[in-house]
Formats: sequence, structure tokens, C-alpha cells
Amino acid sequence: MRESSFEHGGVPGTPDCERFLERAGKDMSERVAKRPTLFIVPAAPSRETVLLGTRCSGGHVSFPPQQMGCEVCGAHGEDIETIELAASGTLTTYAMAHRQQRPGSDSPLVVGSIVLDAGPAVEVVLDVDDTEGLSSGLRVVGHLVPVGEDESGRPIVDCFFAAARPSEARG
Amino acid sequence: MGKTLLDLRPVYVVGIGLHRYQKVSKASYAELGLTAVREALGDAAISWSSVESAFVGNALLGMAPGRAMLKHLGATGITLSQVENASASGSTAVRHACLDVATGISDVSLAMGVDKPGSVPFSMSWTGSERLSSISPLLSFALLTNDYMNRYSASPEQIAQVAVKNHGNAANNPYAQFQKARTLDEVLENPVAGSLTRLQCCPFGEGAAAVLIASDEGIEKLGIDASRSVQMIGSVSRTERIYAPQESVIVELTRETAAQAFDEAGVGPADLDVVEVHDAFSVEELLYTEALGLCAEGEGVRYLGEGRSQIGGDCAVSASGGLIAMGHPFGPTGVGQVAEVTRQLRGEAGARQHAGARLGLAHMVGIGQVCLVHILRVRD
Ligand SMILES: [Zn+2]
Repeated sequence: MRESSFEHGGVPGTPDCERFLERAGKDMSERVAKRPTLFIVPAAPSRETVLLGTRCSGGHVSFPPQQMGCEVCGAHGEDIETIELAASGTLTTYAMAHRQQRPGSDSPLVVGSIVLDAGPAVEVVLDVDDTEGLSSGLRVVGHLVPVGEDESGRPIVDCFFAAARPSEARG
Repeated sequence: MGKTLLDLRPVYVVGIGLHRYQKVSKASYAELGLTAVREALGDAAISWSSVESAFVGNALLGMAPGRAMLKHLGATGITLSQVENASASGSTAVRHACLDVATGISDVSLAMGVDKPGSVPFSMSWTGSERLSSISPLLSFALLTNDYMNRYSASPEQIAQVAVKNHGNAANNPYAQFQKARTLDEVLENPVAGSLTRLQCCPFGEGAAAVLIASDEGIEKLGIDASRSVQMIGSVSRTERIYAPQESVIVELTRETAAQAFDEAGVGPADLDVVEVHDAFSVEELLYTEALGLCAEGEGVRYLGEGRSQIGGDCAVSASGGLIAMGHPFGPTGVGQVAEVTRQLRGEAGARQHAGARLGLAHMVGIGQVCLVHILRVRD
């Protein structure tokens, strides 16, 4: 669940939000990943989000990461290694769900198809309030968004994609 | 490469039966299924004791529903197989009944599908892989719809015309879940996701469908009316390969599966008179008319708009009403498609008959990664 109090600190997942968290007295280095098999929470909040993927000995990249066997060539076991992937890519298409809201938020649910710069395509929830400004070919990056707290009060973050700011829009 | 269906002995659809697709009711799945099988037996004018094997397709009923149902036709010792292949369960049952007869193991086989939405879990969620977001099929198809509009400059209204056509066809189908013609304005009401509206999405429901497959020997032995039998000349089942990341798996998989089926059956898309496709969402019909080769890529909207896929057009697409309007109760769907194509090729489809239909195709997709194509032809 997304913590609604964080909404007032700016756009979730952006440095604005992270500054808000710092003002709120949270130690950003203690953020906890909601999906630790899929992304890394960098110690420094300013660092870019990193996804976890796998690559086989033939060079085929998978996201989500998996050790069961490469879909392209069947390599498995020691022939698959875990690698870090940039949480950046290109939006191919998007759609708003008219009857569903993003969990923990008043915003409508907007989903998108993204081709990651590392190769794989993923369908994801977008960290946007509407479809304005979205277009095919838009550069997008993954941000860590607070979605709750764990038992010891540390912020739990999830990875959502949104339009890259100009400084991030390389690739 | 081994043999194709046409390399084996000829097989025919000799009986068809359905239980109307409908909103979930108090009827047991067994009542639904038995209704369809008894109608198919009556249609073929044969007794249950003549049927040597049965392939029962379900995706939503859990373990072994077939035996508890079919025993009520008489416990004859029949060979029984349960078939589960998601939305393509029924189509897969049809394929295995055809192979059972074509290889000479049985002379008469039953393929059926029956389902009621239940509480069976998706085993895909047990593979241990986590996902960034859990995107429902509805949202995936909303994404595909937006992608189609963007690629080919199609409008929401043009895509909605698929549902106008198919609801109109289903109005003449007594087995359809929806039997009401709709205007474009009605179809455009009730937005659900992206430009998809409620009437452009297949309904939840239940139902049953059955087809009886027989060899020439079976037809002769049982005195079946051969003039009403329809030959199955192609049956292909494939799963996905790796495609470019921006391409749709179901479209590329459909293109490959159909191409193989045309090759094996020795026919081409221009020869088709009737086609039933997996139109669970309106945009799918456009994508599949293109992938099957009924029209060129990106021409689906024009093909539809010119009335070429209407009953009476070049090739009647989803004359039954399709998944959008006839319904998509999972297990029955693919069997019901073969029943519809058979009815059309027999010339027995009444108010929704496509005149002079001689060659038909049924296309089904399961879990977005399984595809079946069957091709049927009138007897010479
Ligand atoms: Zn590989």
C-alpha cells in the first residue's frame, strides 16, 4: 500500500519526495525494497535505481531475473549470472484503467509497456496521475516510491516508472 | 518433421452440440456438459456406446471433472483424457480427438469443453518469479489497443465496430451469452481501460460445447449421414518463440501457427469463407484478420469497415458473435468455434448463415502463449 502522507512531499519517487522523507527524519539508507529480487535500493538516495536481471553465457538478458533457464537458448545453472540493469527504457504504449485506482492512491491506475534499454519488454504501473504527457517513444526511468513502512518504521519502497527528466533522458 | 493431419486417414466432424453460454448460474458443470454431449449425439444420430474415446477440456474446474459427468451417459469403459490448456483447452481437446481418430486408434471420439468460473489458481504464479507489476489481461489488451491505434492511426470508434458486428451476429445465435444487436454509441458506453469499453470485452460466463469426430469407417459402421459431415483438414498447435520486444507475442504466434496450418491443409487465407478467432477484446479481431492473412498488416480496420468480414462479405469473421458476444467460458470456447464452423459449412446456420461457405478456420489463443488453428472443409 502506498502511504498517502508521502503524496504531499512532491511527486513520489523524485528527489522532491526524497527530500521530504529526509525532512521527515527518515534515514534514506534504511529504505527497504518491496521486491528485493527485482531491484536494489541504493544507499545514496540520489543514485539511479538499479534493476536486477540475469544474463546467460550466450549473452541473453532476462528481466525479471530467473535461474530456471534461458528462454532463448535453455542455458541454466552456472551458465546464468545475476546482473544489474539500468531502470531506464522507452515507453511503447500506455493505457488508463477507468475503474481501478493505483493501490493506496486517489489517482487512476495508468499502465504502460516499456522496452528496457537492456532489451526485455515489461508491462508496468506508471507513476503518473493521468495519461497527459505520455507518448510512444517517451524515455522513462524507474523511481523508488515509498509505499509503506515495515515493522521497525523503515520506509518500504517499490519501483515505478515515469517520464525521465531531461537530465535522465539519455539512451 | 513427422506427419500432418492430412497424411493420416481422413477425419470428420459428424456431430455438434452446445449448452448456451450464459451468466454463471446454479446449474452444475455436469448438467451443462451433458446437455452439450447429448445434443451432439442426437445431431450425429449415434448412441453413447459408439463413442470410443473422450477428450474433456476445462481450465477452471480443477481435478478430473470429466468422469463424474460422463458416467451419467452410461459407464461404457470409454477412454478418457482431461485436457487443460487455458483458453485453448477446448481447441486442444478437438485436436486430440482428431489425432485419436486419424491415427486409427478410435473410429469415433468426443471432444468437449465445459467450464464454470471457479477458484482454480493460476500455476504461472507459482514459478517463483516476481514481477514489478501484476497487469491483468484486460490491461494488457488495453495496452495492445492503444498500440494498434498508434501504429495504424486507427480511432476508438473504428475498433469498436468489431463489437458492433459481433454483437449483431450473436443476436442470431441461440447459444450466445449476449443476443442483442448494439449500436456504435452503445458499444462506446462504459469505458473500462484505455479505449476498451465493456461491450468490447468478452463476458464472464459458463457453458459447454461438444463435437464428435469420426473416420470414414466410423461413419459407415454407424450409418451416420455423411453429407452433413465436415472434414478436418488441418490442426496445428504451437507455443511462442522469442520475438522482437515491441511485437505482440499473440500476433506473431498466430501468424506462425496459421501459416503452418495453411501449409499443411494446402489452402490459403483467400480461400476461407468463415473464420472464428479469439476475439476476447475487440482489437484482437483486427490483429488476427491481419495475422491470418485475410488482409494486409495495418489494414484490419479497412477490411472491417468495408464490410468484408461481415456475414455475406468476403469471409464471415466470428459469425457466432465471437468471444466478445457469444462468450468465452474457457473450456467450451474452442469447441464451440469448431461447432460454429461446422454449422456454417453444413449450411445450417439459419439467420447467421454465410452463403456458400465451403472452407472455415477456428483460431484460439491460450494464456497468450499457446495457439491452435483448425481448418475445416465441406466434403467433396
Ligand atoms: Zn540464453
